Amino acid sequence: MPETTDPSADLASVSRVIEEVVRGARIPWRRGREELRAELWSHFEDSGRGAGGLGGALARLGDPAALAQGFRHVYARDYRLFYLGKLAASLIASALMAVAVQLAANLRLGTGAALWRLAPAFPKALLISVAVVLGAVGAWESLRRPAGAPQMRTTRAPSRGADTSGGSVGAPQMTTTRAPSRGADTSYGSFSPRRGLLAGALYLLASLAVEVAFGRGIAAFMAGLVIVALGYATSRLRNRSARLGAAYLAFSIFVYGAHRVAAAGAMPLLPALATSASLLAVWAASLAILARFDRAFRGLVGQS
Amino acid sequence: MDFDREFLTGTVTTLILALLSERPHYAYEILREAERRSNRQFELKEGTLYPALHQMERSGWLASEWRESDAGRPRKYYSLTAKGRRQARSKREQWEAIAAAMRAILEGSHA
Repeated sequence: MPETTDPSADLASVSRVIEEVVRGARIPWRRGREELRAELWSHFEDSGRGAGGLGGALARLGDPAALAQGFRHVYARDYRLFYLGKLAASLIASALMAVAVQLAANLRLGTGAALWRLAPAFPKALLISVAVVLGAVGAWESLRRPAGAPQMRTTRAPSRGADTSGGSVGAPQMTTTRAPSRGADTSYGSFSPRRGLLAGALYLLASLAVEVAFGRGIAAFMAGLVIVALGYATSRLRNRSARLGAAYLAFSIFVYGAHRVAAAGAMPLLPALATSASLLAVWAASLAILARFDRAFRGLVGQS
Repeated sequence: MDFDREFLTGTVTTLILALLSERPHYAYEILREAERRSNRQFELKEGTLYPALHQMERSGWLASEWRESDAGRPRKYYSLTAKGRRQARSKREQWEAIAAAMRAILEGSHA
């Protein structure tokens, strides 16, 4: 890093480097991040009194990405535990939402002793919905931008909380400055082949397990996979209404067509549209839940 | 002197434990102290020292506390726990045994 003679520029660089290290460290609790930030400020205060001032201290520190990598290694196990917790929580919440949607869509007024009954199509619809949820979670975790990557930037403006008024490192104690969110929840980041392979394998295993247990897993999971693929394809549209409309149209065509191909006879249009609407609700709710949990996770590990 | 990384691997922990067995230090102080005592032969890098301190703290070898300083900001002081003291003793014994064995071998080769 080049040495400068402008103290405020050096201070801004120090602030930027500290934030880069703290964010890259992936410490999954706020207090740990605040302590690291304070420790690094304290380091620069001492090191900045040496040769070259703050510029020299920055140069001596070396590559901030390497330092962040060192910390990341230390806190890797905690980060993974938090990540798995987020994954489980978003999966459970999405699955419960899918059950609720299908219960609401398939509840019928009874004619006999029972006041309410479930439509005969409920088990199949529920299975496909669960497959959609699993597929959505798998695709989300495989296709989204890896956590931490978007924030490792070097062109960010200096911390708002940083004291840039003086030449000393008398800057903020325990600052909690964060990088602006990129809104990466629904963005299409770099594909992670490892995650993709793992998600695919787990999806296949789940479908085989359901097939063995209930005798109908493969078909439902294939249908779920197509719904997820159509959902991802249509969600590239910018406009929310267009996105939902396109997804609904694609789902309806698939449900109607699949029913005919499966030699189950011609499906009346209205039930096909109703089934598609429930699948759309499951799909949209899953994405909303995943985005919310992802945001919460990023906030928790200091990467939002 | 530029040391071969192979020689230095594993010495950082021993060095930190040795310095902290005397009294609590903050990280920057450890850097300077190692440099001073080794006649600037040892220049610990921040990228090595800070993660090592955090790792050792998480392993329960070190405890830390924030203390006010005359210079300005509070500093994070590291000290040895009972587990850390045992580690320090063990590392020192290992190091001395290795050094004695190496010295015997190297001096023998000149005889």
